[in-house]
Amino acid sequence: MDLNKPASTSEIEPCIDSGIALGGQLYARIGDQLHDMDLFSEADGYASFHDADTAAEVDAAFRSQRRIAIGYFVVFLAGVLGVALGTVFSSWATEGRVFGGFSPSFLMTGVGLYVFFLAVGAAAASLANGVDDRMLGASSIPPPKQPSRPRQTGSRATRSPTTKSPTTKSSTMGREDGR
Amino acid sequence: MTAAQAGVLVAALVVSVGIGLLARVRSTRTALDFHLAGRQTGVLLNAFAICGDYVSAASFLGVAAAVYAAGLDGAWYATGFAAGFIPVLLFIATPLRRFGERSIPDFLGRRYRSEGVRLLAVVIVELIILAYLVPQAVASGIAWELLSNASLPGLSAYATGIVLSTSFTAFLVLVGGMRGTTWNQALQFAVLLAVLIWLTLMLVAEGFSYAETLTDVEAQTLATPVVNDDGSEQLITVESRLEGGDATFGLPGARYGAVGHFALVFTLMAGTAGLPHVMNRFFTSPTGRAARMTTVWVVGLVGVFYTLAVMLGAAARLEISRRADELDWLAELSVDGVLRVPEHALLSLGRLYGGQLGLSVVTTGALLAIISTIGGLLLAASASWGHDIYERHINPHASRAQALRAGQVSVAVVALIASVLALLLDPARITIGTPSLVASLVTMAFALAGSTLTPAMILGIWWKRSTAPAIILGMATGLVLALAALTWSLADPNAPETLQTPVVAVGPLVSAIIVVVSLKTKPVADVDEIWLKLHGSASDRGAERLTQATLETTR
Repeated sequence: MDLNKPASTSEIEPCIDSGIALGGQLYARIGDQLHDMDLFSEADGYASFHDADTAAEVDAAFRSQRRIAIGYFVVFLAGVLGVALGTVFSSWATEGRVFGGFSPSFLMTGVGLYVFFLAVGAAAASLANGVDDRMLGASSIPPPKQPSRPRQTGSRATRSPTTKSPTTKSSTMGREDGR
Repeated sequence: MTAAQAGVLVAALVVSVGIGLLARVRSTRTALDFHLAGRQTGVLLNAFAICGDYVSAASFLGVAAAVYAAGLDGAWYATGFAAGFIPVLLFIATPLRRFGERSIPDFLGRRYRSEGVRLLAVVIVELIILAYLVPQAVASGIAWELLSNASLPGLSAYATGIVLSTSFTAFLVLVGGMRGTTWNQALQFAVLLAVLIWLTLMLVAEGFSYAETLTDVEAQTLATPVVNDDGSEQLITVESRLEGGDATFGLPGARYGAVGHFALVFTLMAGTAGLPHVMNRFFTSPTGRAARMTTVWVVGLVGVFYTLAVMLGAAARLEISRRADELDWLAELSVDGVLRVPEHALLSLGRLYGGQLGLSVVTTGALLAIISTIGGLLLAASASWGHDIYERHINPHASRAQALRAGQVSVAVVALIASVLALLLDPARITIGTPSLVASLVTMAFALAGSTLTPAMILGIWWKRSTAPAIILGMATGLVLALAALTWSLADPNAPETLQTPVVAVGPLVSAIIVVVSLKTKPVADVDEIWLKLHGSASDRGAERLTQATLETTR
């Protein structure tokens, strides 16, 4: 990679996942060091290193996340119970034949339900991530500008700084292990 | 043990020790490193590690054994194990990580601002860990016995397997801490998956067809070997619990009636969310979002794993009955073509298709599954004793070194207790009417977790109004009822089947108790602050921004 050339989004994004881990490490290390140096009391925590959400934002996001969680759980439960009920009470489910010899019940228990679980999980996670992106962090302090660097694309990087609203620090509770 | 078997086993163990030593430099600097790998485990690595933690002997040997012994009913074990991660994904992973902390008792204690909640949770966590550890140790004895008759002086081969596996794992954990254990668990799960894929390929190369195999075995009557008073052995057919008559491989009823069927799935599903060694792994994620995406990967990976395990259980049913008369070693393990110990199903399949080397590969896989799970359990026990008891109550001003030492001592003590308990069990003498002894014992850990910690965690995360007195009363009630049901089920072979899987009744009751008592007591004063941590993403953004800044700086 030419280090003098501005990086493109496609070059940056693969780094983000491992970078998050790296950031998490630094975040934890710095916090740990500060704690050991008694620069922050337990009550203060690492407030300086924390972004903030407003109570209203979190409440709205919480309600949306709860709807998603319960909604997908109902779908998940319906799928599992449907197959279980079919297995116990439907003779077609255990004696019928599909896909070259599988009983519908064995096919679902042995393969189909795992595919269903992954579909439900992936869809719910995608929606929950979207809610986090849209509903949280609007009042955050933007990161320091890097004039010589191109801005990354993506919901967080492109979010325009908004008018600051009164925020409640999320870190006034005891913190003693750098999270 | 042949040279090939010894070679495979030694190679696997040397790699494990090497990983532990490599991780040692960084992993044991602080108690946070030792317990949580500095909270820096990436998504895919953590997903593999969680699978390594979760896929224990009960999954690797037990699921195939359950399918082998109970057919369709056995396959539902795997469904329950895999289904457990959906509630974790939907309700727990992200808020749990965002709240931080080090262990489930730590989370509950801080959420409810109650040391009473914390201490009760520690007791429950330790019971769950023991309930999960003992069957792992039992499985290690079974696997070692089959792999080698070598034994330590004064011990049987079974006991030798237990002593070697627990002491080796305790050593690995002490050397590598959470970071070393993470890499070991991830690698070990990759090996397990590779073993199942290899077995599948060997079967396919011999012309295996899943659908045709099922067609062949579905009508087979299920039978269990029993020992008569005169020492002779015979097969007793299994009676269907649904329709009476003989149970068959392809129909439900071999193990469970209609209610028992749902009770099993519900218990496994609810219990997963309360397993301390699995939930602790989410604290190692750098952010809540990473914890969420980790869980999605876990759902996919365990899905692949259980699909293969169920298929191999069905294949074992056909192949072992076909070839027991031709092969002396298989005849020794079976009675009229049915294995005495169902956990031998996958191991026998390995030997059938890969000879001694195949057996050693599968046995080594089984031992790795056991080691990775024991490692996670020991770390979870260590986090509870070391952090929640020692640092919080015994020595609140503990130095880093003292806290670290407390965690390390608790690893050794818990390993010793589990070994002793496992030595008191002998699978050849125990019959508790189960399709798989190991899977059934592990189910008890799920029952304890689902009856106590899961309702407390879900209500604590999603209901502001829940209170500490309610959680204490709810968890205590759940603990007493679950223990009573499990004890009854162990003591009385004719006990109702749902007593082994009581969460379907106890879980809702505990939730109702928590709700009623919460409405009559006061929640913590700063619940709004707690909500910001649980459901806000500020800490995630902080970590992400720091990451971006780091990337900018290093480019």
